[in-house]
Amino acid sequence: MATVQDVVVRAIDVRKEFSRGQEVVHALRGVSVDIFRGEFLAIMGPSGSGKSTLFNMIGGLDKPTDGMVFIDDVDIAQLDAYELAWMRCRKIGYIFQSFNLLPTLTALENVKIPMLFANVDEDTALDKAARILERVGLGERIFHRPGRMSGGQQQRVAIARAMANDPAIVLADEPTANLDLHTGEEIIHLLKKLSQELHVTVISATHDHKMLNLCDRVAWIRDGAIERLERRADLKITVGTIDGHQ
Amino acid sequence: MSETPEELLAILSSESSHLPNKTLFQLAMAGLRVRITRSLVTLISVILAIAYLTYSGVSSALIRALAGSDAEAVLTLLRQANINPDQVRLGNPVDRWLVVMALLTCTVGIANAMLMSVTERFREIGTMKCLGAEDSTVVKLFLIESSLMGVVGSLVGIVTGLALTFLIGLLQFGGYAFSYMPMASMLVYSGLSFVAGIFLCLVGAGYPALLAARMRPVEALRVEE
Repeated sequence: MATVQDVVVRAIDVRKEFSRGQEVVHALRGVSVDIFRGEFLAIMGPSGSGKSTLFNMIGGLDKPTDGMVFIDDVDIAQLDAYELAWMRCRKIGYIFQSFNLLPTLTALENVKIPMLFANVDEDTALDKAARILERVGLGERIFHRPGRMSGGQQQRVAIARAMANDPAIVLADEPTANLDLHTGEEIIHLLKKLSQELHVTVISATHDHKMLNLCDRVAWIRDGAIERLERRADLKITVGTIDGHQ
Repeated sequence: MSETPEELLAILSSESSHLPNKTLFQLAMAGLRVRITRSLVTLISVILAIAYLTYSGVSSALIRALAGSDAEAVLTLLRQANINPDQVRLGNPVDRWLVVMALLTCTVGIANAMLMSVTERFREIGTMKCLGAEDSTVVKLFLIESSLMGVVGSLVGIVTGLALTFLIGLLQFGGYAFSYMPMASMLVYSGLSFVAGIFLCLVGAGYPALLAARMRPVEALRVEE
C-alpha cells in the first residue's frame, strides 16, 4: 500500500475513564491510531476490552477524558452540541447491530431522514434515497416498512441510510450479530463493495471472523489498548492458527 | 424542575435542523398510532377535563342569564331546581375546585403517558440523534405529538361539554335553556377551554420532551435483551 495516504480519523493518545462507584474504570489507556480514507477497518476484541468505547470516540458519540480525536481534521472534543450534530449528520454514517430503522416509516422515508436533517430538499432527497436503495439491492421494496422486511433487508436499508449524506466514515457496530451466517456474509460484501465504489471509510466493531477475510486492517483491542494492528495480508497466518486451535 | 421552561425555550430557540414540519407531523402521528390504546386513554382524560370545564363555564353563564330574567316562569323553574340566583352570580367554589382538579389530573396523565413514550423510544431517539437530529427537533417532535392530542381532545371535549350543557339545561328549564343561552359567553368559554386544553397538554409534555432532548446518541447502540 502507498505510504502517502489520506488520514480521515486520527486518534492521539486517547484515554477514557469512568467512575463506577468508588473505583475508576480505565476503559481506554492511551490509544493512538490513524485510519485512512477508503479503508475497511475491523475493530476486534472481547467484550469489556474497550472496543465499544473506542468505537464511540471515533464516531463522535462520546468524548475522551484525555487525548484527541480528529475526524477530517476536526477535533471532536472541541465541538459543541450543535456542531456535533452537524458532524454526525454529514460526516458519519451509523449502522447498528439491531438495525434501528424508524419502525413507522417506509424504507424510502428512513433513507430520506438524514438528508432532510442535512437540509437537502425533498425532491432531491427522494431521488437519491431511491437510487441508493436500488444500489443496495432493495429497488422494489422501497415502500415497505421495517416490520415487513427480513433482518438482512432491514440492514440493507440501514446501510443505504448510513450512506445517504455521502459520509467520510461509516461506523458499523456489530452489523452481522443479528443475522444468520449467509446473510451476514452478504452484508459484509455489500459494505466492502460500497466502501470501494464510494471511497468511504468503513469502521466496524465486530466479533465476526467472516469480516477478517474482507477488511483491509484489523485492530485487536485488549485491556483498553490496541494490542496489534495488522493488515489483512499479514493476517492470513494468524487466522490460520486460530482455526488450527479450534 | 424549576428551570425546565427556560431550558426548553433555550433548546427551541437554538439553531435548528430544518426537518420539514410535514415529516415531524408524520412522525408524531405515527408515534400516537403505534401506542393507540394509551393515546386513546390519555385523549379521553383530556376530553373529560375539557368537557367539564366547558360545561361548568357555559352552564353557569346560562343560569346567570336565567336569573337575570324578570319572567316569573323562569324564576319558578330556578327555585324548583334549588338554585339560588345570588349564589350563582358569584360562581360556585366547589365547582371551581372540581374543574381545577380535573385539569390537574389530566396534565399529570399526559405527563405520565409522554414519559412512558420517551422511555420506550430511547433507541429511536438515540438513532435520530445519530442521524443528525438536534435537541430542538426532538423537543418539537414531542410537543407536536402532545399538542395534536390537545387539539383533538379539546375540540371533542368542547362539543361534549356544550352538548351536556344543552341537554341538562333542556331537562331543567325546557325551551328557556335555548332562548336564554348567552351566545357570547358560550363562545368565550369554548375558546377558553380550547386554549386551556392545548396549554395543559404542552405543560404535561414539557418535562418528558426535555428528557428526550437530553438523551445521548450512544443510547442508540444499546441492545434490547
